[in-house]
Amino acid sequence: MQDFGKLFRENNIIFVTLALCLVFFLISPRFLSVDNMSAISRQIVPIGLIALGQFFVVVSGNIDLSMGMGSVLFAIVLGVIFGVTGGVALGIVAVIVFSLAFGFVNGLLVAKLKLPSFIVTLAGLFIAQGLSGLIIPRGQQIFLMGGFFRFVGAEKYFGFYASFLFLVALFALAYVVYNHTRWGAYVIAIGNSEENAKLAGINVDRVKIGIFMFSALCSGFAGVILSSRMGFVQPGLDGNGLLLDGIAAIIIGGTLILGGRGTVTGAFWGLLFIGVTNNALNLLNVTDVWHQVFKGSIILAALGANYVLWQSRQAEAQ
Amino acid sequence: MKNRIDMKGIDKSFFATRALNNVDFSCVSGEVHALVGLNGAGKSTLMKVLGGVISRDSGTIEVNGTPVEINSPADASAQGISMIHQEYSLINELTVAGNIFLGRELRKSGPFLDKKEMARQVKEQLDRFGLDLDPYKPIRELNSGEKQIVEIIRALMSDSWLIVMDEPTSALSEEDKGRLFEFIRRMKAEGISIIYISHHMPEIFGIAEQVTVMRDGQIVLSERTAETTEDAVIATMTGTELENFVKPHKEILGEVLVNVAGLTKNEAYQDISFDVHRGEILVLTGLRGCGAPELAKAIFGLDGDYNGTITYRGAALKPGRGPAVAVSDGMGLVTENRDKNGILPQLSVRDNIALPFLEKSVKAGVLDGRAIEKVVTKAIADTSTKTSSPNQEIRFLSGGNKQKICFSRWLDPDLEFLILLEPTRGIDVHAKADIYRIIEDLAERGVGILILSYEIDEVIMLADRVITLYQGQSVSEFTYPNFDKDQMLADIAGVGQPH
Repeated sequence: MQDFGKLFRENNIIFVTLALCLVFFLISPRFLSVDNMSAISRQIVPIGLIALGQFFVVVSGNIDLSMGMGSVLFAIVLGVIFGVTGGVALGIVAVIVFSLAFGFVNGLLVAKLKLPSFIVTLAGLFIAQGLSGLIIPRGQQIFLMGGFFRFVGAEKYFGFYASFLFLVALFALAYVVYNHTRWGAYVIAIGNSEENAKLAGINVDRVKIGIFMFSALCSGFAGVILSSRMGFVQPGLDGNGLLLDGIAAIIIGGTLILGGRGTVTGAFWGLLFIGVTNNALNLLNVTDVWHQVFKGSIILAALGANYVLWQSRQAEAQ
Repeated sequence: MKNRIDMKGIDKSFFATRALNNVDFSCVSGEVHALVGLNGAGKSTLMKVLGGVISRDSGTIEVNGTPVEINSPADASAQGISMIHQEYSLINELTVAGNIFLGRELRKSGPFLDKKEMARQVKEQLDRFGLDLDPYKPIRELNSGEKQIVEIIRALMSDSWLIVMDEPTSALSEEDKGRLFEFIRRMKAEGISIIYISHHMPEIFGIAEQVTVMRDGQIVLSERTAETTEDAVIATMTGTELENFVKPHKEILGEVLVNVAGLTKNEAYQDISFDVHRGEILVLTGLRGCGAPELAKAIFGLDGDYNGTITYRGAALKPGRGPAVAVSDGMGLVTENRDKNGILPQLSVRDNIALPFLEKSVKAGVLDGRAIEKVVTKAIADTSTKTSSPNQEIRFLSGGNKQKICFSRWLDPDLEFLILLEPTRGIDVHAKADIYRIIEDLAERGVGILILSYEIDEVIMLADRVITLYQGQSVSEFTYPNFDKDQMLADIAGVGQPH
């Protein structure tokens, strides 16, 4: 019994997510159908990419608010290159280069100028939003047609969407990097104490710049996959909603918002939690406004329960 | 091979103050060298020079007879010198092995960490010194004794042969102390050299081969511990010149304000009893870890987890009643950590002073600006705080002036009992004199005052009565004017105490 208690506390996000699934299933049996599971797996990909990039940023004690509008901007870069030249590969390369450069600037400002990441990336958010509207005026869009976009948006292998498999592969890669390379240890060290990390001889600036380049690259991937699924790009996409869902996923997954602590598997379960919640509220025909209210309440309840459990663990440790 | 380090003729001045004056200091492989002295004697400065944290004005440092340049902490570690500080430099969320190898990780082929090999090497070191610790455990799950072990192992594994420990036992439980001493004995046997900064005489005479006493930036005694005594060391710490300070004599006629009876909190303090009268200044003194700050917390109602009773104005206090109740009962507390607990750094001098008076300055629901202005002006004048204007942000003030502001909060006429933790820590001589004057004025007014001070001269200068503490036990009591400084120092250092 005591072992179960421990198991529950250490993996509570898994239990909470599964319990949520059960509740939704009881309300609407359609929820657990293969088709719906498959739909969820596709819906969570862009959020998952944001969550993954944000995970490293947050563990390092920072935040990247530009990730959501960044994906919109990077999707537009893809759309414009594709629209003008018709070249998909060129468009993807442009997204990768452009997003890495964007992240590099963010990282440079945070690491070298010691500006708070909140401010740097908030500015980045507005700049990305403005540039998006500048390149494609509101109300207009560029259509993405062709085999590649169909592949990214809808192709399945062994019953799984290609984009979902890509996400899982990226999470697996992140798991290895976070737990089994120096890079992961340095991100944790910087999030715990930048001063002590420096004393241990770690090149803190380089790690920070790398973290922001990775998060921007994740935004780029998210933008490509989201727009491929929809078949067009336009500046009116809800990038900030994407950003907030991504942040919510990792926080629900047990990442400390102050930095220094978090697990990749926790982040993945947090992502499933958000994905399941979004999907179920749609499935139950909850209207848009109530959708947000319910989502907020569910997050609050889950995090509140998590916090109470965390306190009991602290008390146990004493 | 035997290693030795020799510091010769080290001088260091800070502006007009001569912190180190022609100091010679040596340390040899396989020995513990205890470094002793009162606050401000120059111990830390000497060790900072050795560690490359500050530069020396003149003198040489030789390792095995060859002069070396130590101008940065990196230079020091290249020479095999490591400092273990009281604030640990570990990463809480990483494991023991992860911390020890942080910044110089072992890898398998490719980018992958070789966690097994790192853990194995750490385990090997732990075994070598007879220590039991899981290399995979995260630091956050360790107690302070275990964290200290990790710091030391990290130093040893980066090829350090000289470890400087600054009051290493101050935060340790009895059990952890025993383990540390055993660890130190084993390190000695392995040829490691240790500089051990401490005031605990039983500890020093238990593990050190050599003891050096500093006073006013000079070495005043350096002997083999086998050839000297605890009393001789104590006597040289203070010297013979007695300060001719005469505290104005006053009769303590006030009634008993606070009575503490049989106060016990497991490891922090045991069976402490005393009275504080109205108008009396009672000073608790000891070494760090003597339990006095914890006692103060219990009296102020911040900590309710103790046995025994505290009576205030004739009525027993409810344990852990919280600071808000304490303040409304006329108690005040000035903490030792001003920057953390004492001030609100982003606010102005005015706002910092006014904070506790805001409740009383409300007129018809809004704050009475003029009344606040009066309180603030009076407080600045009464404490002779130096500030360009009351609008100045407090964080720009000097340490002494910040401390005065912390005091001014309690110049409230309703104050009856004031607790001061290290009232002059880190502040200059002039500000000290101002603060002593404020304390005397408060006592004059009939306020009962309980002070914790680690500086023996301050203790003697301020107190009407002194209680010495050693490891949470009260050792002796002295009443003005019968203050025997050497005896006090011996008592707080645990001389003659069962160890």
